[in-house]
This record gives sequence, structure tokens and C-alpha cells, in this order.
Amino acid sequence: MSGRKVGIGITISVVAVAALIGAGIRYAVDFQQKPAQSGISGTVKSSGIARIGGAFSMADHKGRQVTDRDFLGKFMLISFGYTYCPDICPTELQTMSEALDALGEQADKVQPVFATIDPERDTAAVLADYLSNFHPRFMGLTGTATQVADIARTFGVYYSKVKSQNAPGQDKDYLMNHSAYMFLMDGNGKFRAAFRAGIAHDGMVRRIRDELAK
Amino acid sequence: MRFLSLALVAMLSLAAHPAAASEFKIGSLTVETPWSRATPGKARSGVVYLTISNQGNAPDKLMSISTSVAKRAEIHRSQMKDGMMTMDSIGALTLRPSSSVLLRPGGLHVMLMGLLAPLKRGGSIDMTLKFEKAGSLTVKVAIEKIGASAPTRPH
Repeated sequence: MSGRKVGIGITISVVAVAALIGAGIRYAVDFQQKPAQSGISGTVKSSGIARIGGAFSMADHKGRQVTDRDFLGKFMLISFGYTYCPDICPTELQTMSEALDALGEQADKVQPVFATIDPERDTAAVLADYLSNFHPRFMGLTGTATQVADIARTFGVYYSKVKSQNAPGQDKDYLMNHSAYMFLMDGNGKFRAAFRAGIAHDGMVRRIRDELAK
Repeated sequence: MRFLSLALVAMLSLAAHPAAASEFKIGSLTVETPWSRATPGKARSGVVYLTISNQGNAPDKLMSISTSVAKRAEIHRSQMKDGMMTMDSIGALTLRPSSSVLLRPGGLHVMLMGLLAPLKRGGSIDMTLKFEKAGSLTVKVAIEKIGASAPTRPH
């Protein structure tokens, strides 16, 4: 199989899995954001969200190889995005940083992670430089195109490169579309909560405290 | 007495604008508090937020934007479509009479593409807005910290 075919195969599989899981995530997120409208109080874990998370193998922002097993024992707050994104992604990382600050000592139980969906531009060095502007314990994840496609599929995250109108194929300033959720995983690597982009940090803090207390 | 009431009006108007927002006017258009976010070392993109008010009776259009710090500047809109965050170039921005358009995080913004130098917190850049009817207006954009959600410094 040629490299191009592999690339197309990955894209199709990411799309397919995202389509399957997308509805589940939307349900889970909407449900968490609007408990009053659903008429049910408390936290409910739907069966659809159990599929978020699983095995992955990536490189961190210092170039070290890491897998999902390295995160066990701690909660993980993970966001997917890309450093070229100047609007949504820095806002999310700032919200996560503020949430960690507000958690005080409990923040030590949570590992903040920013996983790129744009490994072509987001090398370990680029991630390290970018993340130095946010919470000091932030870990960046990047990898090969296949590794990134794998972790995205694991979390039901969809992404695609936006075709440039200016210089197709050669434009370094391309944009990405991507799922804009932040996920809270527990110390066993199990999904606990999803936060929609744009959420205020205090709502995130309340939910993390609740989940840590369980 | 007259002096006192004038002073009172002045104080009240100051209180109503605590940030002493920067304002730039051309014709019936006012551009308020343009601000940006600092960028990390090798970043090739940046963002600018601002508010444009049209106090006139006729619509106008923001046709294009330029700045010496980036190869191109476009008006983009971030929006959630079926759980996907997309960022689309929207071309010209219509400015309806007696209304304001807000460019702020998570929605409309000016996207600086092909940044030629990092944007440094505390600094500023000049940016020129070209309107269909009102003409060209150059504004000073204050640079806040990287993940800032609103302008914080008094300008």
C-alpha cells in the first residue's frame, strides 16, 4: 500500500469513528451542560461515553515517548487543538490553566494535556514553546500522523485540514477544523466528563472537584 | 454651579468607561478597544479583537484589513458545527446602521496569517481597516497575554 493510500485510509477511519462516537459525545456534553432541561438531576454516565479513551502512544513536548499507561494514577484533563489556532485553542488552554489554579492543592491530582491534531507543524519544540505560556505542568502530545490519528480516534476527536484558497498544498498557513472538547479522564484511564469549548473555568472546577471526590 | 455640573458629567462619563477604552473614528464609524494576544516564539498566526459601531444612517462594509506584521489579515468566524470547531473566512463584514459588531474570543475575529514577528505582550501594532464608504482607518492594537479573554490594560 502506498503512503498516500495509508493517509486516505486513516482519514476515512477517523471520520467514520468520529461519526459513530460524535453523537454519543454530543449527547454526553449536552446532557452535562443542561441538567435542568433534561429533568434529571445528578450525574449520569451514558453507555455511549465509555468508549472515550484507551491506548495511545505519543511523544511529549520534551520529545519523550509516552503511552496512556504513563498517565494512570492521576486524572488527566486533555484538550485537542493546534498551536496555529489563535482564537479557540488559547482560550481553552487558559480556561484549563485557570481551573487548575482554582483547584489549589487538588490540582496536583490532575495532569493537564494539550494534544495536537496538527503534527505537521506542531513538533515537540513548537509545543514546548507554546505551552510555556500556560500552566507550568501542561504536557504537550505530538507524534507521527498515524499516532495522532490513533489518539484522536481513541477520544472520538475529529479533525481535518481546511483546503486553502490561496496556495493549495503549499500553504504553511492552513487552518484545521477540529472537535473542540476537553475531556476529564480518571486515574484508571476511564472517561469522566467532557467540557465544551467556551465553558467558564468555575464550572469546570466544580465538575473536577465532584469527580475527584467520587 | 455650572462648572460643578460639568465636572460631575465628566466624572460620570469617566466612570462609565473605566478602562478608558481606545477609540478610533472615521465618518460615522467608531472602532473601539482593538486588542490582540501575545504569540509564542515561532507562531505564524495571531488574532485581533475589536468593536465597530456604525452611528450613521447608512450601512457600510469592512472590506479588507492590513498590517505590516503579517502577510495577510482576514476576518474569520469561529463556530461550532456539530461539535466541530470551524474557522471560516467571511470576506467583507457588513456594518448595519445604528448597530455594533463585536469581534471577541470564540466568534468573529481578525486572523493574522503569516506573522512576520512575534507579538509581544505590552506592545502594540498598527492595523489598517478599509471600509467601503468611510475609507481607511489605522488603529493601534494593544497586545495582551496569550490566552487573554478580554483587554485588561487601560489604554
